[in-house]
Amino acid sequence: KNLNRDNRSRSRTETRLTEERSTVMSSYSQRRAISDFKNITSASDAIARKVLQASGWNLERAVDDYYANRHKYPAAKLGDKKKIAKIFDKYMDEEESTDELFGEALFNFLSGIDVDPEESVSLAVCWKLNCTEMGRITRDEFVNGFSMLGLDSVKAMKTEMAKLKSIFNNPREFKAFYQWLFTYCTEDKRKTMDKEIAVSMWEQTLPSVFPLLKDWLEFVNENEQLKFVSKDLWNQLLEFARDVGDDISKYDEDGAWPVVIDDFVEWYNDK
Amino acid sequence: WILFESGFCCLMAHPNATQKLVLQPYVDKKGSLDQAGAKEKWKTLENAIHHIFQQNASSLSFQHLYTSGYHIILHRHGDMLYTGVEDTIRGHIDKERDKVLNQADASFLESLLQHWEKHRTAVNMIRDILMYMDKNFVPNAGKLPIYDLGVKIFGEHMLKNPKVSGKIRSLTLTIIKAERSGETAPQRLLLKNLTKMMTEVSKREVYEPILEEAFLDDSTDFYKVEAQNFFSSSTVPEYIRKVLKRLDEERDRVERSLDEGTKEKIEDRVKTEMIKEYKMNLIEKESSGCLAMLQDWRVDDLRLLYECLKLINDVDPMVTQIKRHLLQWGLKFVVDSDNVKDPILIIDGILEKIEQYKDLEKRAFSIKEANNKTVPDPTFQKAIQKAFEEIVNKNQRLPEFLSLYVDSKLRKGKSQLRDEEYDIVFEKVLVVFRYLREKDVFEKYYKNHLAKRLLGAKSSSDDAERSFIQKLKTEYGYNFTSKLEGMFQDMKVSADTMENYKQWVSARGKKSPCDISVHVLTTTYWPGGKSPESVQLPEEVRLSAELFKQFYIGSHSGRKLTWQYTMGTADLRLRLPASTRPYDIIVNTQQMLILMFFNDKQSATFAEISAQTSIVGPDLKRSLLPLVHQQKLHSPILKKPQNTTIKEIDDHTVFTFNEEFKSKCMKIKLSQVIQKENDDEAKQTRQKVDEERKWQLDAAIVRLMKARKTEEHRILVLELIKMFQGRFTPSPDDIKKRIESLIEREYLERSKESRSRYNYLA
Repeated sequence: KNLNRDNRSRSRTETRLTEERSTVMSSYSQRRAISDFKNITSASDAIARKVLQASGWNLERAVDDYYANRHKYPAAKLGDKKKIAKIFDKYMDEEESTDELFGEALFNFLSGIDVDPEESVSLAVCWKLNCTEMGRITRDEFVNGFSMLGLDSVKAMKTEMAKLKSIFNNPREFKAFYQWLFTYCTEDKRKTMDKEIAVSMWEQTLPSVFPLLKDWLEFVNENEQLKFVSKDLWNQLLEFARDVGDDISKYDEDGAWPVVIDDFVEWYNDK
Repeated sequence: WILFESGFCCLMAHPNATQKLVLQPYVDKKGSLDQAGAKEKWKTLENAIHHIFQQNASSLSFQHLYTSGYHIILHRHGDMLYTGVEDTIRGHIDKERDKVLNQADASFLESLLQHWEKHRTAVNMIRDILMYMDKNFVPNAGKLPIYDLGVKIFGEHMLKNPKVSGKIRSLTLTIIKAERSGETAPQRLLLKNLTKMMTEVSKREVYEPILEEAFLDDSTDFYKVEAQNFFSSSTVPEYIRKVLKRLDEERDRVERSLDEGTKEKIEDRVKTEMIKEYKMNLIEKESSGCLAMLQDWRVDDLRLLYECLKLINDVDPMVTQIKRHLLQWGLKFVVDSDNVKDPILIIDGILEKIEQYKDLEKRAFSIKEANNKTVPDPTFQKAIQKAFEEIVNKNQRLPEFLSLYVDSKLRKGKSQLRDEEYDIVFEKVLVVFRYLREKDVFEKYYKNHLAKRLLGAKSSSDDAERSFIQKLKTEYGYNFTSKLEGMFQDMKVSADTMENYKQWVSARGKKSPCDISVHVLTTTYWPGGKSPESVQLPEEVRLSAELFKQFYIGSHSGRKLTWQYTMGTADLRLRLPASTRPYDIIVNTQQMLILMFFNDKQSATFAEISAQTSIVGPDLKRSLLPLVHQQKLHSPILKKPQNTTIKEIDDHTVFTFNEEFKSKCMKIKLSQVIQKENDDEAKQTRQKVDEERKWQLDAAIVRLMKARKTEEHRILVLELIKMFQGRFTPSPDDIKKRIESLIEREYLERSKESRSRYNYLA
């Protein structure tokens, strides 16, 4: 009986100790998570804490969530909407439209902030502004977007947008950008993307990510049954591109890949 | 003092004495026996031993000798006595050995046995004399008792002597050799005694190395040669019979002449040399091997071969051969272009084969178990089942053929079965059915064929129909047959409905322009016909149909009634201007439409008929053919141009009404036999089946995921395959496509943590 009582009291002490340790630990790990989060995303302290809290202090999930919902987390200091509207007015083409930048106007604006409109970085600009329609930026998107980003001068835009190229080297940020592209490139709630658009997007965005991109595009173009690209296929392709290596050696047959990807592997191996 | 033989003295209690009874060793009052005295006593003993060996013991005084031995032991000269005895026996054996070896071969073994007998007797006597030593010295000194010592010395110095053992070996083998070739009368007793002697001396040290080993090796050589000779000169069954006879002989020999322990060993040698070594040759031997037996269907020989291979526990190669033979026949038979024309023939062929192999299994490939029950050999049974499964599934059309086969048995006709025969046929059909991997395809066709039988009142026996479905149900469950049972239910309800309809009509004083009989069928139970939406019905029929609809909707509001024009029949009366008697013609609904069309017309092109009746191409052609054919009992009702063959019928072919129609009977039935589908139709049906499978897979995935909320891809695929086992086998690819489609339709999503895990989206 004595032994039992001893054990019980000891285990009670231990429980208390672990509890104490866990609160200490958790505040410590929270601080670590916040600094890790900031390192990855270069977001502010307040945002890091907010996002991490929302995701239950899971760093991975928090980062994904942050990138996928950028527009929900504004910069510490919002940009002056009036100033931004003026920049918009400067570039818009009155004869075409006063509410949207597109065509030549868009081309001029992008060139104006030192972004090559021909390059994929221009898509990243649209992602930052959370645009919804391909090839155009509406006034609202322009003003609200830049305001959230805290950019209200052409100069500030230039410096910030120059950093955009780095998203191609940041796997998490790129994933969020890549997945956003699907919605961006499909019209009005359609669930599939036309093959031609998908091919051109892959050409622009995947060269540095997917070693077998050339083969993939060849396969997709040859495959006449494949006319549309589903969201699942679009998303899984990025995983596949990152997973299988240069020569498909790491491909797992039972890996739940979409059938089109299985077919590609077969086609590639035959070749 | 009384001296007891046991060597103890006993102090007898004097009646007056008060002491208790005491036992104590007897001590010679004359004092101790010294070395010399002991030697002297041993000399007497040694002398006596010599006498004993010379069978001259009658002059000896047992008492005297015993006391000598007793004294020697008592005075602790046991070692001297024991070695002395040992040496004396050995010396004697050495002398005897030369005598034995001098014997002629013919009498050698007998003489050896005689010596053994003598030796045993002698050693027995020595033991008796030295009983005291055996009891008091031997156990303490850790020595062998005298008798065992004598036997051992005989073994070491007589039998194990190389010359002696060599002779034993060669003489024994000669005897056995002669016995095997049947030359001399078997000297079994001699051998038995020899074996007995050797095993008595030592089985492990004498019998096995000297006799058994040589016997086994010699047998191996013998059977090696014999197998070769037998095999080249006899057929396989003859060979096996010889082998079995040899095995019996060897067993018998061991029983009569050798030691029991040799039996298994010699059997093993014979089996190895004669069966194991020739296993493949036996199976493959041309003109009499397994293949030849199968070709001539010699069941007894197959049984023989099976039993022979069973002896070495290796029936696999034979079973493989049989399976290959069966497959060779079957895989060709079910796709043979001539056979395929006649589904009944194919099924009959398969049933016959199944029967044949069942019989083979019973007669040749069964094992008798301890409780006297015979059970089929599991290897054979499994292999044959595998083969049939492969055969049955080789032809994709087989589910249809099987259903046609059942149809042919259940359909009214000339070769109607008796009640008790149905059961036998059904059991056979079920055997094939169990082999089918695509049971859902069978179900589809069965539904079609059953519908035609029921609606055309062609079914030969309602009980038989139900009994077949009952059988399917017990085997494959309610799901499989619920729709089929629903069809029967509809038929019953329809009969009642028609009764009510007739009352309804007469109660209202209405009159239907023509008699109609309607079956109201539940859409989900019955095969969906591709009935055209709007068909130009003849006015009388249309009005009658309207009237029924009015009645039916009146009592079942909310139901939707659509007419199936492809499944009905019609009785028409044909009045010809040239003939006074009218004919009754029974046709299907489509033919009715065609014939009614000719009421107002003398002739029409194929295209016109098609436009009027809304029946398209192949269907129309099929309905037209019985109308234009010259039949045994009557002339054709419609005429096609003389020079146009059936194949050449196209849109412009003109059909004319036959004014000179004649028939030997008043009632003409233009029955449409259910034929197998043509290739296009089969393809369409397959497409339909594929669609249904997609739907079933979707439903199953959603159901499963709804219950589990989240599941690994791999497990999901496995469970689905298991779930559909028996109905069809979905490929992992099929399943994947369905999953992808469900992801797209947002029933599922990939888990954020792992891309190979799915979550259910409510």
